[in-house]
Amino acid sequence: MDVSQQLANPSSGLGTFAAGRHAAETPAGAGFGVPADQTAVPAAALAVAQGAQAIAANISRVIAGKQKAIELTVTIFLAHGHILIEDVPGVGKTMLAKALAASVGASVKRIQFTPDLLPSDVTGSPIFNQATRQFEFEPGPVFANIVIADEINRASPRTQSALLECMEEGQVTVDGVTYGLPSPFHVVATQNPIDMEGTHALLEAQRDRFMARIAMGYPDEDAEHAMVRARDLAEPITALRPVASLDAVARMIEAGRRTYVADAVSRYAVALTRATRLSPALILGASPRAAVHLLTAAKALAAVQGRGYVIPDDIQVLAEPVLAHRIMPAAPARGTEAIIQAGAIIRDCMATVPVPIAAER
Amino acid sequence: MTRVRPGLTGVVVLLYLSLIVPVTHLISGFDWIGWYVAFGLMIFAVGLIGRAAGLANGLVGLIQAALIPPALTAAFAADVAWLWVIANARVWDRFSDLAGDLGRAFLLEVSPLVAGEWIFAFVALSGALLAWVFDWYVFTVKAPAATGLFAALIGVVAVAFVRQGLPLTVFAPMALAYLILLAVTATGARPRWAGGAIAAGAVALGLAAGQITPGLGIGGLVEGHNRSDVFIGGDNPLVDLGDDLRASPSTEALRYRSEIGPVYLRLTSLADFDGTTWLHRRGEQRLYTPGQSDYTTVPAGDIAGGAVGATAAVEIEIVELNSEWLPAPYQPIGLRGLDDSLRVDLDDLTLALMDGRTEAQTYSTLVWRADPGSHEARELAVQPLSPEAEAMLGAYTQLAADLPAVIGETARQVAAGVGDHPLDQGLALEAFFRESGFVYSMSTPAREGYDGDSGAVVARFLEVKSGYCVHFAAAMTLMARELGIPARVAVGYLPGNPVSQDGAGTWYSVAADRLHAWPELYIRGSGWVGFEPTVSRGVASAYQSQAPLPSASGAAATPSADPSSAASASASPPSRSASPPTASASPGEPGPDGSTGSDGSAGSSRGPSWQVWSLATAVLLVAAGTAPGWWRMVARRRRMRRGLAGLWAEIVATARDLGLAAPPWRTPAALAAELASWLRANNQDAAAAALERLASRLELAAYAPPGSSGPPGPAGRAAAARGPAAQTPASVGDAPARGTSDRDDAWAVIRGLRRSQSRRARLLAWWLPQSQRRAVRPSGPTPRS
Repeated sequence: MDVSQQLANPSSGLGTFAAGRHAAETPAGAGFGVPADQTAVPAAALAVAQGAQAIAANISRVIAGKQKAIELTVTIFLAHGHILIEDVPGVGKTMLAKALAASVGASVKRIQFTPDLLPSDVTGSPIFNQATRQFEFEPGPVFANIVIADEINRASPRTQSALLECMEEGQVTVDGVTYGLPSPFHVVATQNPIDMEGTHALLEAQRDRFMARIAMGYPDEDAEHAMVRARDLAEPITALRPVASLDAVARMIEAGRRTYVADAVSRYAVALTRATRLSPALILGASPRAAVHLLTAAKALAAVQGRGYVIPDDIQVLAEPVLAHRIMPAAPARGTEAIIQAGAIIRDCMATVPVPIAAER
Repeated sequence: MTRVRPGLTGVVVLLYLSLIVPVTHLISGFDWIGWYVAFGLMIFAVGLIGRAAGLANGLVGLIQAALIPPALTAAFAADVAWLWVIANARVWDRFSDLAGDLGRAFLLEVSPLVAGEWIFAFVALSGALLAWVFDWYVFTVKAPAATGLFAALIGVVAVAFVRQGLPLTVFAPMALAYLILLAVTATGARPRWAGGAIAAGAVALGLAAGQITPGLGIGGLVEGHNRSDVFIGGDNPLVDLGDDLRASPSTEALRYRSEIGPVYLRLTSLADFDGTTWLHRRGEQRLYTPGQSDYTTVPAGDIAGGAVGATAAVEIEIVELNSEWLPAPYQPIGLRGLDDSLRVDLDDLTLALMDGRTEAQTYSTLVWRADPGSHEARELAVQPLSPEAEAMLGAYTQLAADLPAVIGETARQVAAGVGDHPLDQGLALEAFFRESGFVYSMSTPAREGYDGDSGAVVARFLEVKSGYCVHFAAAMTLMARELGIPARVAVGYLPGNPVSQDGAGTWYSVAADRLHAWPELYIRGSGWVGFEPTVSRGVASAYQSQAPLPSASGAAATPSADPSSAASASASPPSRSASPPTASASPGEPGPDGSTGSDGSAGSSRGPSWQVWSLATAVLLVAAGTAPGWWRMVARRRRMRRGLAGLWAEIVATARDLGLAAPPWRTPAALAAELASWLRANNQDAAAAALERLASRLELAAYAPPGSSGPPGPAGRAAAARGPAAQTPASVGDAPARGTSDRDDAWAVIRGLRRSQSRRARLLAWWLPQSQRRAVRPSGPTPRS
């Protein structure tokens, strides 16, 4: 029976998870949009939804056909999480990161990671000032709202660690002096999954710090053609103007944090995380921090959709981006296959956890 | 999480099979094991398959239970059943017979039980029930330790019924299997040794009980040893005899060759009467070993026999009779050819085998035939006996204090005018029964409610004048005692029919339904003399008929006895001529009537009972076939009462029944979207709209902050949540939905889902609802190890 097969097959695209209200307009995405009937929506959530939609629209002016990746990036950004964009070269990883930064009027620094990059090149170092005859701290590129860490796996583990410490603690300590990083502070790292000589893939513990991993994927034919034509004349990124102030972003993040989560839903997030630890296909499941990230991201997603509460669908949509980069398959695939494999395993785990329905509370 | 555990079933089967070991001591032969194994494995297999198919545990149990009656019918009455499994009147009769055999055997038989059809049926039924109980406790109740109690129960039964006692080692396999079961099912930190201890205690208790009460449940007529499987043994031997008589088959029990025409073969006698029950009188016993080729003298007490008579040889060949008592004509004075020792009751010469059974024995007896009618005997009768003998005889004239007066009055009326010689009085009593309108009937006593042998029953019998040997014998014995004649009830076999003749005498064949009871009166000078008061049965005083006739004085004294006795004594034909009346009665006694008659119910009550049985079987079969469907309906009723979540669960279940994928990991929103688009594709727009309303209401109720109800109505929320780009036509259908109740919406959805499928799919959904299968959890797209 064709319909049952179609209904039964959960791997018919991420869109399946976001089926229903989201499926029509965003086949592969989290489903952005300002609710049509705004009276039913909390004002805070409405503001988030509008803001998020504006940012996403702005970004999609320079990246064609990647609606899902854009929406996910904005959602994680509004969940105050770090983002790891992992894909083959030339699909717009850096462009996405730059477009996001340009859309929110935040200070942006970009670090191109190379094997000879030193930790002090990231954090900054004391410089001797001839005039004052004193050492003065010269802040490194990490002092920005959005730090684009390009090709992070090309740097030495030592340098990677320096950045990851900043990500975790939100501060830099040099020569015993602690310097606070600006807020909001986001790291958008890009990484090439194809094994190359002289690269140091991030360790599991380091990957765990990123709230989500986003795979761009190739654009479809029309989108690619449009992109080629657009680049004819000028670099479109230069035309991007901020559509949200930093203050507005901070308010959106705060609103997202306050999204209501029913007990059943948070339990579902935990159950899903735990299911990865029971999976025989994995030698390492997702950490408790993964569960925290999953719920935080789900709250942001709910807010982005103009909904005042999280539903299991949010968790399901985010399960793969939030969990897939943290797990360690028992029989790991290589390159881009690894990303597909991890996603399949997460979906398998999801199929073992029934969705809680507790109408009577 | 419950999952199918074939290994666990294996362990339970092991425990089940381990019970064979103790039971082998209970049932002879090994044929029964096949039935036990077959029925048990059937139940376990059905359980395994049912659970593997994902059926709910309770449902599996119901199906297993429903399968037992048809399986029994197919195994033991397929030839008479409709379509091999559906019960009808003849199946009912068959099982009634088997149940009758069973009841009698359990009451009377001594272990090991001799294998027979009824044993197989019983083993199959108990095996199936035991397997069902095991399966139920292990998989449904999830209390595997409880199986130990049932296993211990089998142990208790075995210990109780096996006479020689059981070695503890026979329980070793059972204990081992049980420990394995406990080990396999023990969960982590909480070992179930408590259950094990309980079970071990139960086994120990069973063993102890077996030691304390040897022969529990087997009534012994003579305490501890003299048990017969033929008829005597329960609380009330004569009533049992009646039951036996009604239920016995007409197969040949034994045959004998007699030099002196037909003889009664006696098993034992009943002398102690307390007003309600006849019991064997316990007297002195002597051990006796018969010679192999020569007759050796059977020990006898002072009052065992008389002085006047003659000897004759009777050779007996047991065909099919399992008893500890040796059938022999009275009075056995010599025995040979028996390969066993005997215990002899000195008073009444009951011959009890020490170890063996009567089965397949062939032996010869030398019989002393008293001649009470002879002149010498009549003379001797007036001589006084020794004081010891008088004292012994006193026990045979005792009467219960509350005996109805009518018995004594009748006796004195009958005996009036025949003089005071006991033989004359006895013959007068015999003639009274045979000639004053008494009717032989197996069913009358049961129907009239006076079956039995108590004084009241005898009084009622004298009034109704209808009954069978037990009543005649008990009545005449009591009446003789009223007249001061020592009397007792002998039980044994009627003479049977002559089948062939050779140089040494005539061969007679005795059928199992020739069981009989008759009075024996002590005639001084002649000893114990049997009489035959039962009309249309046997031969009236066959052996003493020779005596009164030649005796000149006796001829005058026994005129009333002459006609009947002369007729029957003239040759064996009279013995046959007694058969026609017997035959006229027999359609009602040894056949199917007997089995139901023993339940105390008249034949007319059989009609409804088999119809009910057939109906029940048919209903069970239909119920077993459609159980998932009914179970499903119950589940629906339950869910529909459980609010929104219940309604939703019901919708999901309906979708699953209809073959639509609705796994439990799909969110309500996702499922609603999919099913709604399916419904719209099948022109069920209203149902689709109802489904979306319901889904959004459920979402609000389940996940939104308490107290938040989508202000513009849930339907509006659903449309809102669909986003700005959602311009599906569904939003049109949302408008009129505000007032509809959740239940109405749910029904609309269920109806829509049904209509969206073909008739065949709907029928299948009802008959084999997929939602009754447990949701197999690992249902991911890729199979996992």
